[in-house]
Amino acid sequence: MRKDPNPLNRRTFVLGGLAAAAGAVALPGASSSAPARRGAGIQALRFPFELGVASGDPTPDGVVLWTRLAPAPLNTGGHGGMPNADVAVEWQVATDATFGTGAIVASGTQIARYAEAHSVHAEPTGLQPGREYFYRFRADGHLSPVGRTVTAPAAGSMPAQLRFAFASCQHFEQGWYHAHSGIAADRPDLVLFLGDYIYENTSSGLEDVRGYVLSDEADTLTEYRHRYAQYRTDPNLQAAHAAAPWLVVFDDHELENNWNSTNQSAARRQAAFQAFYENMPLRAAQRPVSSSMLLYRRLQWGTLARFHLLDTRQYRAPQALPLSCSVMRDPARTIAGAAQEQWLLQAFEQHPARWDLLGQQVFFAQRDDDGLRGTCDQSTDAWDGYAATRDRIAAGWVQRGVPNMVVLTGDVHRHWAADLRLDYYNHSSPIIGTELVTTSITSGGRGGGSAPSAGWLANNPHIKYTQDQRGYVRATLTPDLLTAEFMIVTPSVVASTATTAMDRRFAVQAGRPGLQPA
Amino acid sequence: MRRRVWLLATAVVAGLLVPSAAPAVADSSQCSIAASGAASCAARAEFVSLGEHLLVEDRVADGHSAVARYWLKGGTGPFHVWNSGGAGTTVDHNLELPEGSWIFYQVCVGEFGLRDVWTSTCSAGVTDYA
Repeated sequence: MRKDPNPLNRRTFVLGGLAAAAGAVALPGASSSAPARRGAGIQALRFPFELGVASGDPTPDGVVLWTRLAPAPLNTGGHGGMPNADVAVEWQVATDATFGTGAIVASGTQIARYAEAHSVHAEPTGLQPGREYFYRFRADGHLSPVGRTVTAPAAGSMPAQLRFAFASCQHFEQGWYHAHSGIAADRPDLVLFLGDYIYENTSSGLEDVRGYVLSDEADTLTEYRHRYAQYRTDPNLQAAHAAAPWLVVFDDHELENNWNSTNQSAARRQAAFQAFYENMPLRAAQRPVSSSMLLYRRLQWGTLARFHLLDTRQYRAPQALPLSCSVMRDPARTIAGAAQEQWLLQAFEQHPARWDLLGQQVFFAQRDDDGLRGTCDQSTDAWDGYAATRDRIAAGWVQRGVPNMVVLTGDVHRHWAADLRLDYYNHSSPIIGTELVTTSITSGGRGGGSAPSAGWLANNPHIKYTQDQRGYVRATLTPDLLTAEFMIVTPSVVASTATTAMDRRFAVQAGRPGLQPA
Repeated sequence: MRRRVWLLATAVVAGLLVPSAAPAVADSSQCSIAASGAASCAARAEFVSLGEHLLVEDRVADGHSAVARYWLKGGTGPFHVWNSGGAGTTVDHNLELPEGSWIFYQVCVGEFGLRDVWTSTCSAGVTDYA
């Protein structure tokens, strides 16, 4: 049951604890550049868990636990006020939130390294499938807040239900994180965050509700680290992380607006990926290697659900110019890259779960302003701009008999719900799946923009719902039914006090694709 | 047993030493930097932990104001404390922060009338604790 890949020597720990109080600390496994013990002039740490705790990527027997030590998170060096030394951080997993006698089922020690902004990614194994756990950290005598997490059901088992939320786009300056408060209160089994966790761009200067310390565009490791730290000072975001395991992917603003495989320097990619990894509950398999990061991955939830988490940024061809049909439909262009596309299509050949869900970044269904096949007045950054990839993947799941496909999307700062078709210009083309698009947590601020016109909706009859308010989507999945509730913040994200409320509910029956009001 | 070790270690520390919850640290201060026609340290701010006072001093008769901007634990800020009283004056801003919280602050030169902070003069900033 216990898993301790880096056991803390008792003598070392006692010395460390003693030294912590006296002004020196022992650091098992510390890098050669760091002092073995805290030397003169290195003070005891202030409370270092100002960025909270998180968990992610659960399996039937484990989960990744995350924290990042930062007693002064807004200090501008990017290290959150931590000294230039590595620090031993203990972690515990328990079956109850009080960590009472007999409740602790796993524990260990990780080294929070200065070179990785004192982030901690612990991967306990040996946990029981399909159950709730609690976890915490300790560093230099300080105890972290307690987080709640959930392991995936046992392989081959069919759970009665899965409750999950998904969200995206949380511009720090443009609103309060009331939506995260709603997610935390829901205590779901899983949270998917589908990109734009931070915004790299220059401060608007408007400071709708709050402002950045570093107002210039983030494009270095120090600046990205600082930007993440400032976002993570938000208590509602911390609460949502502590409430459930998250599955995270990045979109564009974790690096730069609308980036693709060719328009960023290796140095900037490396800096952005490193900071993303340091600040997310990701496994070691996702640790960046130079200017690359293996972000696409799969998670199984018994025989009920299978999540395919996609990366539609790192391998995509440059965006087409507007209205350029020949480029947008060029089968040689890709949004996913050949390797990821094959990885996905090969998975479609097996059907280990009742539901398949693609967790990804940009709008999948077609959105065509005039409804005419020859004009391509569509988004060039979304799957519309890479229509051949979309066609291959959609046909791929149809031809391979994937039973129930649901695409989960972020990016566009509105709620949307859509039926998926093989040919959107043919309004009687069979429905082959469902797309649920979450609005932003805050990006776009107050919202309330104009709704699509009746003419636009007539050109896109597969679109069943849209709402320009901030919020998130919460969903319940059973063997027979997917229920999605589109949650909105009311009165708005710029109000210091607000709540969340359901705006619309849809259902999808297993074996019968298509959105139904519920 | 890992949990037992954890408790033992704590006991050893508690039995031999009586450390304070946090180290005693002198009150922090910041100086604005020279830029945009403002002299070095034309504005100065100091945080006094006892009672959580942020003092903002205008130190140069340059026709400009001193301003501190600060962020607080909980993801809020920036808040601004202006001193438009002229050279040699100090504004005392009482924050009344809860115990265990922190403040990150910078000090800058600016124009009070336009509420224009000259960000190029802002100090790097420092975190201090209630």
